Amino acid sequence: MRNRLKVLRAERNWSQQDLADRLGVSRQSVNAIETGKYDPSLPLAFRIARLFETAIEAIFQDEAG
Amino acid sequence: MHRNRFANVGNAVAAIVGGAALMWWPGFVWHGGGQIGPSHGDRILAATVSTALGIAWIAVFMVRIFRRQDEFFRQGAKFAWFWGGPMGLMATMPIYIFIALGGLTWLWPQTPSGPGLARAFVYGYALAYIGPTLGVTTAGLVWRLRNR
Repeated sequence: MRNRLKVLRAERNWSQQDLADRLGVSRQSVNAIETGKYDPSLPLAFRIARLFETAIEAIFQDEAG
Repeated sequence: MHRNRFANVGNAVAAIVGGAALMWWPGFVWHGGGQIGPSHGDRILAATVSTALGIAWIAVFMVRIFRRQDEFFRQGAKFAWFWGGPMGLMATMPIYIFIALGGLTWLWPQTPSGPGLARAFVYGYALAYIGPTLGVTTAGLVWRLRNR
């Protein structure tokens, strides 16, 4: 799974910790998602999409698709 | 999340310190045995009950820690328990065979041995397998029933 989380975060000048605090998760979680080591659950993916006011598929792309 | 992390460090410390204190207080209070204090049976009972209380104490904090973790760390904990638990347990099997067949006496002839000690060792070792097996089976059944 590829994602644009790092780009979206950088556009807002947020640190990983800022984003983590806004999402209610740990900084390590944000880092793992950004680096593609961890795919978030659907509820967390929806929270991320809501936070960036965009659709989930605009943030996460299936590499197989 | 920062707060949760610090809270979980506190929970872990409270679990270890409180659990250890609950489990070991009979050993500290009646250290060395002797004639003074409760009878042997009462000491066994006190140690057994206090160990159960200590484990219950630790279990409460384990639940608190799990609930405060986010999904990424929960995933890590599940991974660690699933792979680390059985692997660690299975790694003891060759050591078990070595000791059960008298390996310690072979290496150090002065090591106490005999059928009674061998039986106690086998029972003790088997308990370490029976507990996790029953726990995993029960937790798996509960998960299946809750997710039917």
